[in-house]
Amino acid sequence: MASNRMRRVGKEMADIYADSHSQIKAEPIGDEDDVTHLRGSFPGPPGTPYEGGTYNIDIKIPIDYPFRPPVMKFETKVWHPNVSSQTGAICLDTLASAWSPVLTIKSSLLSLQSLLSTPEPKDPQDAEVANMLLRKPKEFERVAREWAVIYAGAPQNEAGEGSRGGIDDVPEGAGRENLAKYDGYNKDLVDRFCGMGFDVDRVVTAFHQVRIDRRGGQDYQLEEGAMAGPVPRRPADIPTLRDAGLSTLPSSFLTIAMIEDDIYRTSSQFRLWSFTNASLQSLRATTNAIASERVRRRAREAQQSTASSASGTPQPGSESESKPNEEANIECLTPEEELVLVRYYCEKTLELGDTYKPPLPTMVRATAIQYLRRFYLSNSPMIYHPKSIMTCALFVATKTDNYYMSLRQFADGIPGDTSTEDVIAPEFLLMQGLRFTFDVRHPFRGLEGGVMELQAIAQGQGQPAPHLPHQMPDELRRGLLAIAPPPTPSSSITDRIGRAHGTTREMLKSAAQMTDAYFLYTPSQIWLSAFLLADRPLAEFYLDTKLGGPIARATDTDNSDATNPLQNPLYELRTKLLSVLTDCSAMLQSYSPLSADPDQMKGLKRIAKKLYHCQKQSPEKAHFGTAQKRDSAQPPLSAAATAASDSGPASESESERLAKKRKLEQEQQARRGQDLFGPELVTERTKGQ
Amino acid sequence: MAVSPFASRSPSVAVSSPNTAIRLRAAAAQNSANEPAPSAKPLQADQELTEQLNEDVRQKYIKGGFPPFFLGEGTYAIVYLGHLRDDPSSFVAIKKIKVNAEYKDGLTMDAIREVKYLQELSHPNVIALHDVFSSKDQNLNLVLEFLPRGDLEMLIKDGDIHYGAADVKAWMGMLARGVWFCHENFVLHRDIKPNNLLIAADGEVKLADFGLARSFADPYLNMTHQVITRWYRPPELLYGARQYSGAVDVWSMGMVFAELLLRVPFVAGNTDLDQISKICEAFGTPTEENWPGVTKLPNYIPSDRNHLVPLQGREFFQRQFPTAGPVGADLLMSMCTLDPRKRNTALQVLRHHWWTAEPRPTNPEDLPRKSGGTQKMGDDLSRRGGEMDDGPFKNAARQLDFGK
Repeated sequence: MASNRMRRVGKEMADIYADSHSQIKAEPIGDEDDVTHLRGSFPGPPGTPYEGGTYNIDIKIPIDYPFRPPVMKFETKVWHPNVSSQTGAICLDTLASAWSPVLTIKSSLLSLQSLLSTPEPKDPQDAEVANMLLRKPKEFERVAREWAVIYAGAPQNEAGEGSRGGIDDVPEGAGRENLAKYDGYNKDLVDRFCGMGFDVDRVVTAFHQVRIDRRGGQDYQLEEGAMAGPVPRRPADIPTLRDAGLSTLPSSFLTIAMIEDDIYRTSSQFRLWSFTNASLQSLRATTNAIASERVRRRAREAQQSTASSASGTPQPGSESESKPNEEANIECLTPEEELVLVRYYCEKTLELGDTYKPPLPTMVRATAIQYLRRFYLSNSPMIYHPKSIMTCALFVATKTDNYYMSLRQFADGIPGDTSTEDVIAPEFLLMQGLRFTFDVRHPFRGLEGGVMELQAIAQGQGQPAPHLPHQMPDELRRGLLAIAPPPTPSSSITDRIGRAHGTTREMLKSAAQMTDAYFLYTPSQIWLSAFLLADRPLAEFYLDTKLGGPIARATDTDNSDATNPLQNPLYELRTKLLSVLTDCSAMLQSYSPLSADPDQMKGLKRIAKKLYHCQKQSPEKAHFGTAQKRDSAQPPLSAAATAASDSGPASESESERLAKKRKLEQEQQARRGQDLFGPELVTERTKGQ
Repeated sequence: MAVSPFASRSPSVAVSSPNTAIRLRAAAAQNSANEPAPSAKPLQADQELTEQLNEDVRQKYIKGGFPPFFLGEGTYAIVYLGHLRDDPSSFVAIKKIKVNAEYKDGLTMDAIREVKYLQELSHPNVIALHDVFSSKDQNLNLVLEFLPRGDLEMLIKDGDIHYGAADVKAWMGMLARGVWFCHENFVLHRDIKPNNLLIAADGEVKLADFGLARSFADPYLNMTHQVITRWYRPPELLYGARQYSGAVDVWSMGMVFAELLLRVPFVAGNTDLDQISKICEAFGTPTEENWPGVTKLPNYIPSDRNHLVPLQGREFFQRQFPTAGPVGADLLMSMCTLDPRKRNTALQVLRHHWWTAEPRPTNPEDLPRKSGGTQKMGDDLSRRGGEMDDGPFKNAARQLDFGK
């Protein structure tokens, strides 16, 4: 969530920045990248004693923002019944019980601004101020003005009453003495620790000990006003009513709606399964290294036990010389080879889905493929053969994607004889590899939505985009009809959209599934990239309807704010987005199916051979049910070897039997291994019928 | 380009994110000879990343006390009290899903749905799923938010508990926000009822039990109508509609609203047919005029021509639910509209002006409470989706058919 929060705050700040009209400001207090602690400000509302002043608000963004409200307090001292005149604490329902994730920092600052013009003395944060407002409103106004002048920089001549008369009466000594205790440290900073139950002296002593710089980072900067100006007259310990409960301002539950992107960023796909290119590479390398180490260790163990059991036999000579050589040189798959192998089985998953009657839905197959790809980020095909994981992934996908069929039905649909047990055995292992996240966000729905929007525009029923409210249906339609024609002239725009739709969909079903697109890009980015490949002018038109054109249009003179690229944040966004889409398009375009390419198929055969030798050492693929239990899951090979060495000097017949058994096992596996890359599933099916 | 924002949803702030764990392990794997692995156990080369991650998660929690403190046990799951290993005061509820020997098709749909959707939904009014891990015997353990104040059903049923319009508004507000968030994520809950609305220590209402949830189907796909516990089931489902929307949850919300006000279920039918006739009596008989297309629904039963109840208007709701006030009655009416297309959406519900009208909603911490909540939570969490605690309506919505 933390990063979701950062993004959201970043976006909110950009919004605040872009809106110069409201005069609301917010910026990070210290480090520019740290958006968890901000300072907001707004002008005092006109027609109030606060007019002409600037009010700074200390804003802390909690870890689970936007689901919890930002913590705000007045940094600028203010004389107002709903704000503590001592601490700046605020009594406002939208910052507490009535907070809703759709509210923003800006909306909160606006509420604070309006709170200044509508004091609610019946529900006070500061009882003294409230009493004054109720009993001596004139006096209240005078003090409020006085404070605005002193602390908020309001000009003296405005709002009449604000004479500085009273300020000379301030018992300066008391305040100075009080501040002296802080020894030059920022009062708020010290107070923060005092709030934890330490007294000022101890905090200050501790600060000395750990050598906190008094004037160092901005965080520690002293409040000029507090040091130089006179200290407000008021007794030190007036009780303030914190969290007075009832609210003062009407709360609005919803002012803006959550956008799609916000939601995507809470998904497990984004939290757990999104990577940068580098992090993806390194994760795969690690998985490969661990698996390789394991395969080699098994090989060494097997070699040792062979040697020890062989020593009991009369003629060890030839065997013990050849074996160690072969096994010491076990050639493990590289991460790239593993990836090719997994991709092959992803393609197989598509084919397998087609063998069902009716064929399994695209969504189910796509989910299964992503399960496979996710599983093999932290598991190696050298340990778990993709063939068995594939069928299981497809079955789990039918369950998670609401395409329910019984296990029996499912197993019967697989060509060849696969038992229900074969399908279900790796289920738990698979789910563990998926880290128990079953949701996959596909680009298909986004594509359907985009196509529907384009068709609506073609019908003259286009809707304006949220950021470009001036768009008119007719204008949109004219724009659509004016786009550059595709290489082959088409009969109508509707047909053209339909064709682009079909091409894109095919790409999403193949290239998007078989590459790392899901790991690197968001669903919207993926479908837009594919759409760009399908019909570039059409896709660019679509982007323009959302984000405005590539060049600044000077036509809209009355609404220059929205169209001037210097002030329009969408322009920059469009440039950025296009560069991301170009990268993603290139990735999609680089894909060609393995089975269609003889060279790739040759490479695959070689990998399969290597895999067979690796798996010989670590033949655990048949033992999913117990694979988690290290203690009990003895692979058959080493189990046999252990049994042999345990029995001490084995008799001739025993070791012969052992050798025969091993040979048989190897033959079986060889058959199975060849099987894998032998006949295509389609021919297998005809064979089965 | 997407960055890698691994984030922990754990209750503790200091838990390292899973991605960091991977990276730490990667580093450890390279230097395993001279550097100790971050966890107490030395790194084993043959322990796969997946298992290491699972082990890390498992080690984070302790099932509380000796013997482990049971919160509840049902046909479907056992719920234990647990806490973070590093912080014994951070309580969690650990729901261990029982392996069903009769169900041969692997992990059950209830468990899959619950895990799938709770992994995606992170909102103050939806029960938080902190982690999932597997234990040695391949049982699935869901680490859920600890909600010690029971559920709404408990408060509704207890005559000694007094609450008013402000309290109802607070509860409904939290429920509506939770449901809105689910719908915003394209998830239908499909089992909203008072005993699935749990209450946290700070008074927040949490939507729980996602065993019947599913994502919105694409327009041309059918869904089952055998969902939602009968008293909270909307007329379109009773009539066998196979394509429906978030409106089904809004109806359930309306029924919960009515029940909070009346303190008894508002329309409590003994059978599905009885439920339909009770709905007709209460709200009016659905006709082609007030609900175009209703007669085409698969299980539509024409009502007795001589006994047509006219559609109830505002006055009916105001008379029936005086405590809600006229504005509240208006909101309730908009949630109980027979035609699902005319029924308010969760978003419209949230935009209603009842929320800003007097009285103000009570602060969550100040809402009425009752002891025994922990036990109730255990019962609620160990129940299957759609199951009732007792009474003749057991398994009301259990018979799902997943056909098309």
